Order: sequence, then structure tokens, then C-alpha cells
Amino acid sequence: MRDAALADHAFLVGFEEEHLEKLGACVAAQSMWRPGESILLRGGVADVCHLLVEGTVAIEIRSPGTAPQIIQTLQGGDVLGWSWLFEPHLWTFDARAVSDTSAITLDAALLRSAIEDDPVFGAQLLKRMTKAIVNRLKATRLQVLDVYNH
Amino acid sequence: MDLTYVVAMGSERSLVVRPPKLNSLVELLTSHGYSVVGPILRDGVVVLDFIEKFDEALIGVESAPRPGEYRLEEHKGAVFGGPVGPMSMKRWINPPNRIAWSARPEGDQVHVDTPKPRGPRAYLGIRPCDVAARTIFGEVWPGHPDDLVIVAECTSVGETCFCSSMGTGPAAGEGADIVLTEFGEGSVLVRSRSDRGAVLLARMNGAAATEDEIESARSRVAAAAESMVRSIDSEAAREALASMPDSAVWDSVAQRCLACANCTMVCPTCFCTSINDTADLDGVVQRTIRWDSCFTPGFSEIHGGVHRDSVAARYRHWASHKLSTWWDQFGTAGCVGCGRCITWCPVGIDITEEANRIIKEVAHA
Amino acid sequence: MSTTIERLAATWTRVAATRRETADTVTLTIESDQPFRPGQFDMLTALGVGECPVSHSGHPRIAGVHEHTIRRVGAVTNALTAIKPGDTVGIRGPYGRGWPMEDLVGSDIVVIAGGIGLAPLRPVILALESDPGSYGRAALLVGARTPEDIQFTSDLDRWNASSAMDVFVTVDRADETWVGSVGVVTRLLDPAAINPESIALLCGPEIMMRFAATDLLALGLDPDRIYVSLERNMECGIGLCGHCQLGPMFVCWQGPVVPWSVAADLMRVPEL
Repeated sequence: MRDAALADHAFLVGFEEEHLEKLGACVAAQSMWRPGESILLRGGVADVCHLLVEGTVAIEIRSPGTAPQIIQTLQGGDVLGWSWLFEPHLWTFDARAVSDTSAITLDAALLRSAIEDDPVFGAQLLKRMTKAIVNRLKATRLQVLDVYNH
Repeated sequence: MDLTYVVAMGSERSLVVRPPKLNSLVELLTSHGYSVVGPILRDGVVVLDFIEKFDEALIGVESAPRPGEYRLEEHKGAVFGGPVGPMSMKRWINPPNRIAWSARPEGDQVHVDTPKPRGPRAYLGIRPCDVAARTIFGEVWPGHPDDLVIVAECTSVGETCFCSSMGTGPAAGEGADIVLTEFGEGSVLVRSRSDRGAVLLARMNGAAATEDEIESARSRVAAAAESMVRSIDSEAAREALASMPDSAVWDSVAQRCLACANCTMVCPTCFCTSINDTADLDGVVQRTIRWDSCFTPGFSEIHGGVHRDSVAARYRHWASHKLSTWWDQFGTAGCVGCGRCITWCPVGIDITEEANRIIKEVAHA
Repeated sequence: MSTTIERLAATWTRVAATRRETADTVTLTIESDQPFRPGQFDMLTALGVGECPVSHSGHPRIAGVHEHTIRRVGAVTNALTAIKPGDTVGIRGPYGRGWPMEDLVGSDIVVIAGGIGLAPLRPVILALESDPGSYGRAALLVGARTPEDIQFTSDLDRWNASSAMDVFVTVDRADETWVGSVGVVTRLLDPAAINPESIALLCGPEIMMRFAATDLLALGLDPDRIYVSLERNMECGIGLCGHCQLGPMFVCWQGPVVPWSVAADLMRVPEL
């Protein structure tokens, strides 16, 4: 099944037709969230992966006695959630919609078995995941430097 | 360097004088409105200061500079103290601590006083490397336009000298009005090198120089050039230092360098300063300009930290500036080969040795 | 001809107004007729405390006044940010090379500002705002530490509302009350959809400019059309004191604005 929204998603630029079809088979839902709505909760089962289409999502962490701190915001074109890739498949941060947000939601269990079944598809998908993770890590390192505080 | 003197043509004169006669030169300069700065012997060191007469204590002694060491030694025939001591004209052109202005609030106005400009000076008995340095230093801190320079060519060289390779000595180059050359037995050949110099010399008494005397002076300067042991290939250094910011040489220097800033203080071209405002209890504010050094940690400080923190980076900056980036900035080297930075370094770090190591590294790369 | 030392003399002039931008940042409006180019700086003196370089942050074509935006980071900036309207400051300048204003004409422009780095870019944006027809599409990407640290918020709102430019703002840290973006300023490049033919003007912490320039190169921008404003210890502003040297460059008069094609090598060597 080919999904036009999938083919247009920035995360999947250059993805081969046959792989798009495999990924299409993993689509669980088209999701929508209103501002303030929770998307992921730390400790919850990571059974989905969201490809954000529109809107802004805040990745947050809470600690007792302080307001939740936003670590990073994601927007349309970004991938939200990678805890589904590795055991124990539990979310490590909270995610909340800041504005009206839509996403293509993929089923994590189907994704994992598709990766195992077809190593070429797996490599293509994981390359994109890795790039997204590396970019996110680079950005986080810069944030940690607190460059504006000097 | 081959210099041809035009002798006794037109208004130019060449004379031979002996030290007592040098006083008549000092007097002549004074009577023409110059304050005279020249070499004197103080605390066993040849330094520069204002003089009213020639310091006869200098006769027969001279500076003997070695890496990390300075001694005064006897030297027959010496008149102007031999190779350079620690002071150059720099401290007279731009003194170590100098007031730019003082100001005090007057209502909602600010009343500003600026220091009176000084009159012209004559610098007497200055070595050729320092005359070259004056021109280089003058790119940033020009002296008084009417200052007069009386250079004393070098007929003996110190262990730390390398002016020959930098093209600044031991013979007098550009930038002098009168040239003096010691040529034995305390005799000094005096020649004019500019119109102003010629005008002055016309009023000076002395025996006219013979061809032999002029030749004797020339050969002594040439022999001094031959006896110089240190050198830098200036062109090669310019290229090499620009291309080797990662060289291990910098770290090896840093293991010995104390970052004491002596090299930059004695260097006749190092021009860096810091600008400081101070206020006294009466509300009078002074802006002072003080010599600074790229070896101090605060030199490269911006809010949030020190840009050039390691001693290796500070030495690299200094040596690269002298021999390489100075060319980019001013079209010349920033080093004249006076050797002071080697002599007055407490641990005898030798810029010629370090530059040559880098040049070799590049050649073998 | 003035002597070297006379070039350090300040002109004493009145501060017409002050405006607090953030908790630690103040804009002074100073009476002065001296023309300047966006990106240039003046040396400002607080009498009895000292002198420091401060970029022009005001409109380059409004005669009679200068604006200088100062962040409190030390003794001199403490004194300057405490100045009241009617007080006197010492001023000399303008110094340095500014932004390539002539080259901006007819070109798409991406402006990337981090923290107080928006101040030296503000004259450019004000000039663009006054004459939108002369320039292509402009994108302004602003990074700040927290929402409270964002400078010139009323300007940003006005610019955002104008059709002449797109404004994107992000902060490094925020709590849940912030509805904008959180993350480094380079993350704004994707949503801003930068044209590779653009001229980019960058000002902010050096690390930020380095990362931003790298990302702009990856987007296809020409290294000669990416400009950064460098910061080094500038005590005199006129190439005398030697403190601001960066390799062969005196940042005070050969900078502070230089193309990335020049800056890249100078930034590559640590502690140059």
C-alpha cells in the first residue's frame, strides 16, 4: 500500500518505492493533537513512532518541585520517538503538543519485524534514524554548552 | 648589505673625531633645540637616557650579550657601548606608561586636559638594528617628525645578534641623519646621511676623513657582519611560521617559557599597549597607555575567558607575529635581529633556534 | 593631523534616552551626528570606570542619534548600563568594517543572530525594513538562552508582522509556558527554507557561528557570501593596542565583519 503523505515526508526523502510500500504497511494511524495534549509519557510503552507532519511538539522532562523543562521542540518533518528501537521499549521523555499537531503514526512492532525481515529496508530506515539522532545530539551538545551565558 | 658613502661632496662631510669631541656634537644638538638621548653606563648596563655630555665611562667597555645573560666586558676602542643593551628608542617614542588625557566632570560637561606635545629629540649613538626598528615601530607609534637620528654602526657583534640576516645591520641603513663608525683607538668617523645631518655637521669641527680611514671603518663593519653566528632565513621563516600552527616546537618552547614578557618589553618593535582609565578621589580621571605583552593572560581576554590561554599559543602568537604575520600587516618583518629577546629571556629561549626548527620541519614535511 | 595618542580622545556627549531590553541588557540613545555603517562599533567611555567597544544597534539613516545596546558583563558595561538619561558618556568611532550593505541589494538575505548578537545586526534589519523593495526575501533566525533573554522583542513582533521578512525564534531552555521553539538556532534553517543564493549575516557566540556557517555551506551557500562578526579583545579600536589580533588580522579595523572564506581558517586554529 503506497501512502502519499509518507512519500512526501521530509524524513523519507529518497526512500525507494518498494521501501515506502513496506513502511506504508506499518502505518497505524493518522494522529492529531490539540495544543497541550500529551503525546508520549516517560515510562510508557514505546509501541509507536511518529513522523510529524505539521505543528510543534515539546520534548520535556519533569522533576518534582519544578515546572517541566522543555529540552527541545520538534516540528513537521521531524521524527518523534526512537525508544521503540531498543529494549525495554519504554519512553525516556515526555512529549506534548505545543500547537495543533498532526503525524503519521507507525506501529513499532510491525516496524521492528520489517527491519528484521528485510535488512536493506532496515538499513535505509536506520540510516535515516541515525542521521536524525546525530543531528539531535549535535544540537543538544550545543545547548548544553550554554553559549549565550558568557 | 653594501653601502656606498658619498663623502665630502656638496654639503656632505665626513670627519674624524675622538670621544671628547663628541661633546661638541651633543652641545651642537642641544643648541639646535634637540633634547639628546644617548647611551650611558648605569648599574653595569649600557642604557639610553637624556644626556648633556657624552658618557666617557663607555669608552673601552661594551655589552656582551649571551642567551639569558648580559655582562659588560672590556673592549679596546669601543666608544658607544658595543652591541645593544636592553633599551631601545621605543621607550622614548612611546614611554612605558603615558597619560593620554586627564578629565574631570564640570556640571554636565567634561573638562579634558591633554599632555603638552614634546619637542624634537636627537637620538645619538643608536645601533643600526634599532634605527630600522624605529621605522617599523613608527608604523604604529610615529615619533616627532623633527626627531634626529645619529646611528652608530656596529664594529663588534654580540653572541645574540642576527641583524645581518634580517637586513638591518651592522652597517647603517635607511632612517639616520648622521652615521658614526668606531674605527679603532677610540676614533669615530662621522658622516652625514641627510640634509639635516649635513647642516649640523657643517658646524662641527674635526679632521676631514681620509680614504684610508673610511676604508678602515667600512672593513670593520664588514668584519662584524662576518663574525655574526646567529641567523634566520627571513623569507623561509615567514612562510614556515604561517604554515605550522600545530608544530610540536611551540609545546617544547612552552615547557621552558615563563611567560614573563621580558622579550616583548625589550623588543624594539613590540608595540602592544593596554589602555586604562583610573580615577582619583578628587574625581580626576586619567587615561593611561601602558606597555602590554601578548604573554600576559589578560591580553586576549574577552568576557567569558582568555582566548590565548596556553603559553605555547602565546609564544606562537609572538614569534609568528615577529617573523610572519607582521609582513601581512605592515609589509616588513617585525624583527630586526637585535637579539634582545634572547639575551633578556631568563631561560635563554632563542627565536633564531625555534624559527629554524620550524623551517626545518617544513622542509622535511 | 592628529598624533597617535590624540586618536584616543573621546567626545563627551549626552545620553538622550535609555531602554531596558532584558534583565542584563540596556540600549542607550546617544546624541551624535557621526554617520556609521551597520556592523561598525564605537568605543564608549563611562567616565572614571573605563572604555569598551559597543556595536551600533540603531537605524543607520536616522541622523542625530546613535543607539548602542550593552550587555552587563563587567565593570565598564555595569557602569554603562546604569547610565541615566541626561548623563554624559565618552564616545569615539565608528570603527571597523561593517556588513556588506551594497551586496545585499537585490539578494535574498538570511540573518542569524545569537544572544546579544542581534544588536549589531539590528541596523541591517532596520535598513531592510525601511526599504523592502531593494532586497529579496529576508529570513531572520534568532537564538537566545531563555525566553526572558530575547532582545528587541517589540522589533521582532513588528518584523514578523511585516511581509518583508520571516522571523524565527528559538531558545536553549524554557519551561512549559513557552510556546515557541526550543533548540539551537541552526534547527531553524529547515523551517526557514533558505535559498542557496542568499547572503548570510551571522553574529553571536563563535561556536554558534561556526555551526551555523557549516550548515549554511551544506545548504549550498557560497563561503564568500556568508559573513560573520568576530569578537576579540578590542581596547583601542584603531590597530594600536594589538590585543585583538587574530593571526594576521587586526579584528578592530580589518573586521569585525569578515566573510567566512577568511574567518574559517582563522577559527580553525585553536588559540590563534
